[in-house]
Amino acid sequence: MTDTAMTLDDYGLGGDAFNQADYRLYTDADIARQEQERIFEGQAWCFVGLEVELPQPGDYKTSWVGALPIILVRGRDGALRAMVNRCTHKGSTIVFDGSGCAERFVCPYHNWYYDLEGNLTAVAFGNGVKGQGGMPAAFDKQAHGLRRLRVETIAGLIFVSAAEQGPALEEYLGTRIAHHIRRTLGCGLVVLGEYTQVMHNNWKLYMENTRDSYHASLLHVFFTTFRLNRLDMAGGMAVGENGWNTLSYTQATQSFTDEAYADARALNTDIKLNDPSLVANWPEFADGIVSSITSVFPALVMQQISNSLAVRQLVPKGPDRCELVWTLLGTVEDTPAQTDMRIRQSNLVGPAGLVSMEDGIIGNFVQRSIASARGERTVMRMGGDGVASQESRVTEAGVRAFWKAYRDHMEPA
Amino acid sequence: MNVDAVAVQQLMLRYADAIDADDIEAWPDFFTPDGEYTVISRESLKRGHRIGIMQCLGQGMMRDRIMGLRDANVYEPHCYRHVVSAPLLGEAGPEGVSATASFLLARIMRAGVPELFLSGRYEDLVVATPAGLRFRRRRVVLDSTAIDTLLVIPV
Ligand code: FES
Ligand SMILES: [Fe+2]
Repeated sequence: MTDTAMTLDDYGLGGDAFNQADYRLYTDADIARQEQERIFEGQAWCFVGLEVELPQPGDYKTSWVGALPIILVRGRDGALRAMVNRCTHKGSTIVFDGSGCAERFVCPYHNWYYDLEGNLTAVAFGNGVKGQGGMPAAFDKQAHGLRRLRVETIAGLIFVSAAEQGPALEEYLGTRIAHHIRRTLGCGLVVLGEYTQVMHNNWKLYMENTRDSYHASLLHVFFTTFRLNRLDMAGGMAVGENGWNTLSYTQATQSFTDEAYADARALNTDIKLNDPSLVANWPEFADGIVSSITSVFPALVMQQISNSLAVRQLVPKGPDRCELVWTLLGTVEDTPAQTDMRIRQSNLVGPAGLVSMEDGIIGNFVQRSIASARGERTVMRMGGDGVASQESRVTEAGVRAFWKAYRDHMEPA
Repeated sequence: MNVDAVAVQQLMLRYADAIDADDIEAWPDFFTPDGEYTVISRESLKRGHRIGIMQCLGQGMMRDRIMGLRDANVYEPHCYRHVVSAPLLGEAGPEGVSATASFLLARIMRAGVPELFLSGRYEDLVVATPAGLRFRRRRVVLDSTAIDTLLVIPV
């Protein structure tokens, strides 16, 4: 913390309620640095990409673990490896072209060579030229390999952990969350689209938003206007065993009433879609869940909005900016008609999403108003206190679970 | 089909002018009823992605977007200023004539200075109708894969 004597208790995060948070947690540069060390490079499992992006040996892509740049590569043995994208010589970025297929990595600066496992294999002019120069005989290449991160996958999603040891991915996710990821993405993925959304707010504001089932039909009026998602539908908020990761879900449509919305923003009930094919859909999942947002601490969101499937990786860029990398997905089993429905429904999501575009600005609405805060705290008491699963979506249990995960990583017991 | 470059440019300029003047309701009328409007990055296009930032398949979906931005979506008031290059005309085929043009798009928030929001290229298929030239297809190819905050007004 800024003041080294301060603990998260001083920021409202003591105890088991997790129902308040000091606004300075969103604005303080020192806290952002500690988050990098204790969360992103701590015991957390961070989503960094999809197996389908790296089908062949030698395929690589760059990604981020918070602020840490990494290379993700499929080795000649078919195994996925992750290593820090920072040359051990003078720190240059080694891979700067985003993605491709390589036999080795060569640093552009002084041509140090690394193999696909991150071992330093050659140093340019290491033996000098005509007996002059060169590295000392004692220089040990083996001691100068790239720092490696642990890798695990689930349903084609690649996670890395910078900690040398820690919980296995499955345990980290929780049974219900892991099951839901497999249920959603378990059958051969196809990348249908990709884009990045730049947001001018602290990364935590976005991640809280993805667990905040309370706001969904209040801020996002397009959905309610067209009766696509209402808090009075059946649904709930499931929290994984360790209280960190969440699944917010909506069950198949029930009858609608407007009474629950009498005090919310006025609904224009006359509005009808000119082209209902925008929301044409098919029942894709046997469990009857028509919409679900899975939020994995620290920075992954998996989305199923009707048949629009996507994963979103959030990359913090300092205390007041973050970048959200969207990957829209289909499966190898999709019929042309199903792909067409996924394409039409994609209009609902993303930076131009008819349903969710507000999430791009709402974090900034908060960020701009809290710069001057000096000790004031949020109030997160909808649905009580604590992080237990709830059979209602009118709850902030998921948001509280974010803060439990946050404290458990920032100040491990 | 007999379509000249001046007429195509007039269509493009009237399109940009209507959006910049906040006459968004006129936007679908620049298309044929089955017209397609998509916004996608050049990187996505290169990778063969099927989904971009926006995909309106037909005027109905365009009208629904307008309804959304007028009545449902929450965003800060802002306007656009387009600068559109002269068009480059391609082959005229039985479908219509293809045309491309570069654009720069400034976004101006209520109390903000104009900021360069997007740059890219229109890739169009223009057809003659009894009512005049219309877009059968307008693909907006963005130079960057990143969108700042949100994209609500069509490009
Ligand atoms: S910084 Fe990489 S070889 Fe010198
Ligand atoms: Fe939202």
